[in-house]
Amino acid sequence: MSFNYFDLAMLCSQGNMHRYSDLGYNLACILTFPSAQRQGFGKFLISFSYELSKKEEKVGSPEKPLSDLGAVSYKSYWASTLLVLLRSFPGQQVSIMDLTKMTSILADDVAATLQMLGLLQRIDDTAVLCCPPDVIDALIEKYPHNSGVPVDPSQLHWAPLYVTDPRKDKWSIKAKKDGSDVS
Amino acid sequence: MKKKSKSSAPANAGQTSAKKQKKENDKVVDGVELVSSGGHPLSIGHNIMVRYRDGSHRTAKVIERSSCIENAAITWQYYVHYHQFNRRMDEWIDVSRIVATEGVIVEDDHHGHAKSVTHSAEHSSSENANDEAADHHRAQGEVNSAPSIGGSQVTTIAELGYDEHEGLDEASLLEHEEITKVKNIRNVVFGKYKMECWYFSPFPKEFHPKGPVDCLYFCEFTFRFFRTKNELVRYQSHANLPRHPPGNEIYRDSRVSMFELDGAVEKIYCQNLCYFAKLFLDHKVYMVVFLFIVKSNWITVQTLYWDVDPFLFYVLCTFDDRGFHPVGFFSKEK
Repeated sequence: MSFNYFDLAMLCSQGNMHRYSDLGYNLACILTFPSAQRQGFGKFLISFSYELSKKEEKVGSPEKPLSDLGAVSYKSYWASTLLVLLRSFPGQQVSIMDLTKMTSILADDVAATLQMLGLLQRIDDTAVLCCPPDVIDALIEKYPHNSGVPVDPSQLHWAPLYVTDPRKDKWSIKAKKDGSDVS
Repeated sequence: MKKKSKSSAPANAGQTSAKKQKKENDKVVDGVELVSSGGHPLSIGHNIMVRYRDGSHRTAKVIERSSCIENAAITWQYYVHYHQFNRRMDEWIDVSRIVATEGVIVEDDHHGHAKSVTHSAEHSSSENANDEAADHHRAQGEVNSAPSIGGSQVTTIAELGYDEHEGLDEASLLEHEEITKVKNIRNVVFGKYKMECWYFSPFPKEFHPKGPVDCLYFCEFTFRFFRTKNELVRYQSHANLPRHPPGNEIYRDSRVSMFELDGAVEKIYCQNLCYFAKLFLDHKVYMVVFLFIVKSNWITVQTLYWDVDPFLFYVLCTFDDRGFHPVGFFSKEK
């Protein structure tokens, strides 16, 4: 009987690895213990997961579905990260794909966040990213960036376990082409 | 209302055979007639008005009930779910906290924001002391005199209408809720903190032999758990107790450090971590749980398997001169 269990378990776990391996998740499950909540550790964990993705040179996204508290933390992280980037961005035009490359945040998540912030406008059936400085500053006050514990990338000593061929890996940043919706 | 007493222990939520047991218990106690008061017991699924932890009145649904007998009188306790609130707020309440049992009108449980309650308080709300105790219970958070942060904020977070279980079909969702509807562990002690648990976690039967237990004791360095404080103290008194998580420390700054663990290498640590984490996460899809149930004549074998092998775990710790204290973690597929 125990032999059967073992067999089944092995089968399931292997099937599982195949099922998930190429979905582009950079995080499966996240928890800040209740004793340490409200101190910025949740945001640190999220930020850390994207730092690992940057090291892997991949884009990533949390595994869905998110819990209610998880969704709140992620939305806040995406918003503050993108806003800081947009405020200090030197050029005139930026595409969603550029933002994805700089932050390792999945393009869908970037688009959803910009839409939530009200920065995407529709002109002639094309989504246009429109961010006047005063709007950005107002939004940054709403989504403060430096709250809690920041991640210092220079203190991270880590290399990815498996190196994939960037030409074959659709989640690799190098495989990304420039996006088309700009301004 | 028919006066009938049910099994005295709260039904154990972890068993899929719970229904069967309930039936048997009903049979056993069918003949027993005891005096109970005030129209109790309420039936399961009944909507009632309850004084909430913060003193306000909220509608709730009876999920489970249990009775105990004192001086030939039955006192009932109910496990209730507050409408429009996340399941983490479900709790056992005394009869004294029930404000109204009839005429409670409930609007859309899942996404509604307006909550209309036409019925005024029937019973006087004189048990203020009791109420405050319930409030404090959540807010107390820790055993020692560290700043009060222990989960007190969650009382204000209502359900956001976000579908946490998308991707699950109706049947498996119902099954998930049936198994996990009643929390089996009420509190955990972790390091210097005592925390109220949010959700069911599939601990082995030995850790809650007679229904929900009040407290489990976790070692913060190895995540091993014990039923009594003495066991924990004895375990931690070993000289070679590690003071940090296993695995590689891949990040350290002035406040925190991060450890990377391979689920296939540090299996026991990661599985214990999963047991702990499940107390605060309401997902069966987050951790892959394999539940094999073999039913033959009167025997139910249940094997639980945390599949940690395909994951890397990243444990975030703060540190002081006593060691590294985990404050959170995330997992990631390899």
